[in-house]
Amino acid sequence: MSFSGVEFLLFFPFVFVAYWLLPRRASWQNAFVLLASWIFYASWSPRMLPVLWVATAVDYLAALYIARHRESPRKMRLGLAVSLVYNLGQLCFFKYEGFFAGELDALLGSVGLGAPLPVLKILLPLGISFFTFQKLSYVIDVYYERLEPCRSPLTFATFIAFFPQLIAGPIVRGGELLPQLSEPRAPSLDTMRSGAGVFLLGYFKKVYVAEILGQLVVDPIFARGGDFSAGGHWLALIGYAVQVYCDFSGYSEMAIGTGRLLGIELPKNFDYPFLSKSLMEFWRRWHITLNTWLFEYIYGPLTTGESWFRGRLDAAFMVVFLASGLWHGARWTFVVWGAVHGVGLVVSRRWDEYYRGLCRKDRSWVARRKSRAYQAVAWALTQTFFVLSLIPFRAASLHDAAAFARGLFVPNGGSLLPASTARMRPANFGMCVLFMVVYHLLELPSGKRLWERFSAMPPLLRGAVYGLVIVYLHLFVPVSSGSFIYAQF
Amino acid sequence: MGGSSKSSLLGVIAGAVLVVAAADVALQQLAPIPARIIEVDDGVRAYEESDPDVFVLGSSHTRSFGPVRDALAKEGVVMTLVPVEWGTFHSYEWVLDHRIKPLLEERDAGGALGRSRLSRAILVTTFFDMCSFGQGGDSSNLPARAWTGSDFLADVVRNGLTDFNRNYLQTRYARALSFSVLVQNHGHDFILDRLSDRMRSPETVRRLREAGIEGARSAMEAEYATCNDAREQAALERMVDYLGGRQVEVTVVLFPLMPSIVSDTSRATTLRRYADWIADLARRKPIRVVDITEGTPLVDDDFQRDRDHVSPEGNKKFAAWSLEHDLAYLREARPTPSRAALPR
Repeated sequence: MSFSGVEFLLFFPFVFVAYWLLPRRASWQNAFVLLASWIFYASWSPRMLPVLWVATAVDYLAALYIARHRESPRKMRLGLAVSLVYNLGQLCFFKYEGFFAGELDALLGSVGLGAPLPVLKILLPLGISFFTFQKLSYVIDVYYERLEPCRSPLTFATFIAFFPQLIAGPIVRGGELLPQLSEPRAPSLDTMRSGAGVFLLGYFKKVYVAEILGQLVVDPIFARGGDFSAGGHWLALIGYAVQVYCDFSGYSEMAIGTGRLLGIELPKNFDYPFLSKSLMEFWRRWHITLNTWLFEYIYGPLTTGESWFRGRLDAAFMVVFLASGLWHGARWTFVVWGAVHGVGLVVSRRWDEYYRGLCRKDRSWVARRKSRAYQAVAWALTQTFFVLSLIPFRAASLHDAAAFARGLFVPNGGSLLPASTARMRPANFGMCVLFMVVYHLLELPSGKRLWERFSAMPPLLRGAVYGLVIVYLHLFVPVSSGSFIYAQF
Repeated sequence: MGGSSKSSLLGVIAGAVLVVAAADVALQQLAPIPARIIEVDDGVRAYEESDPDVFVLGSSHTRSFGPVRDALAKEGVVMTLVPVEWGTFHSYEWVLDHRIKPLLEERDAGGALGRSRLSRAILVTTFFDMCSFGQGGDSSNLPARAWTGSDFLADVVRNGLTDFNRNYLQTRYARALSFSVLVQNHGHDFILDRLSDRMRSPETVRRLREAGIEGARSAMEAEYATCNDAREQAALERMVDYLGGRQVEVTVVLFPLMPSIVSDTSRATTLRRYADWIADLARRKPIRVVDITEGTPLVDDDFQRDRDHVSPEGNKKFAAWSLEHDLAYLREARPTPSRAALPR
């Protein structure tokens, strides 16, 4: 079941009404949400539901075991180890078995030991990367006593399976969601209004901007790069950056909106990353919950405490982003993408250190850094770096990535854009660009004032504007807008 | 909940609903909602209620037999139409197996067939039915047009919600909101087509029409390589065998195509290959073949703007002509076969 599919239009109103008609008791509300979440998950693949159940049970018990043996570090470590082995083992089995077996096989073959290893055809449980990280953080937090273990199996199962964020995040920490699930939720009109608004914004980003760009520009040019000019390649790459952003941030906003409509607040996952002026800032604004997770549970332990290794900050960046690449998928293209960003962050950090040195010597460098020219160059470099890094991210193989990269710089006499069909009018492309510009302008102070003025308009008039958007969407939204790019991770 | 925020929310909702409703009504003036077409469910229901003498199954062209059915009804012959939109042979076979067969084989408490009058079946086809599109169940027409709720649920339990079975929900959603042109338009773009037409000069409209005909002509020539799918052929043979086994006379009709889209090339390739295969089938199986791909009085203007389906006026013309010529045999009663010996 997809947020943008017609089935959600049938499923969610029922869940919403029934949920708020229940007695205002956390246990009733959680039991109902849990049931709805399992149905939601089973709608993707009923056979994968037991994977979710077992995974939930293992971490519920592991956390309780750790909490029960606070006096015995050895037993605590045992509880943590069971959870780590189970979670990482499950992730490796489902997500990486084919990759590692294939690579090992190729390696053995190259030295003449070519006994083919079995590559199992395993169906990947949807959202496994998301809920595995969520469970890992819970057990680690309990281990380090940052979080009390959840005693109620019902509350814990709801925490793991909460359907708005189960498939593609945001990755929620126990400390964020468990306290909310432990208390009964009461309906609030303001929360619901804001939930509906956030959901509709995400819906628009997904079903309109992401789909139009994907179908009109990105997919055709990536599929047949040789037919398109260098300009076409750049348009496809920039289009892909916007497509991924709108697809994923759209999903996150629909998840946040759905959560809010059920009285649950989920963390923000995107914060206008295309306004970033450094890579570090970019990663604080893009897929925030994953990056927070990676920095807290990988970067933090690697860089705290005494060490003789002076380059450990740089090494930690590399480890974090290689892990991020592998988290996205078992392909060399994702590894390269992660490595590129690791190197980018190392360079960015070194530049910052160097610049701070300049500032200490001469304060005029501080003013230069605040100048519009510096900011513009920093913005352009950051965004160009990110956009170029998407080549391996989008490509099916390193060979494809290299071919696409060549197409960006080598003129081949191809066309700029694919011939549009009647259904995909080029005007839609212009509308997507306009939306992205307006959406970002509204985040600036003057844009915020404009939004406030809009919000102060008579409700009937505001409703009329929303009505026009609905009419526009009905006329122009492509038919196939059900699947999300990040749901595959 | 504060009273003012409640009224504010209601105001926003009212504003949105008013604009959407007003836009829908205005757009209906420009592009009226297309008339409801007969679907598999309608055909099955009619079959259930009428116990027909003749049963017509096939692609959307089956709908063109409406005036034929009406003319025959005046002569006491009951005909039922079961059109499968965007179907090919495997879709028709699915409909026969899952929707028609239970009616055909239903027996009362005493063991007698509930519906026993069927003596003739017409399979309405074109070369398209032998194409590979949609093989292996990977086509949207079955969930959208032919499935029942239990078919949908069974598939969801087996495979989860997929892009394939989601077509069932999408079609039901569109049918539930059949009063809205905005919902009906989604995926078809007829509102934008009408709008574009209004802004185009007659010359541009004529040029586009010619380009469309040229496109359809060359597409038909290009289909040659793919339109010879053995699995589709096998599906037709199984249908013929099943109906023949129930002592039903089977006619395969090669339905008329718009004259302008047929070229010498497609006559010698795509159409020839299809006609030859059907002729070969007729040598091997007891079927009647009515090849009226060309030669009917239908002209280009008798076809709709999709260059595929015959217009309502064209259908009347087709009925009047065909009942005097190739389909005249339908007027002659065929004795209802004795089915006492049929297997249960």
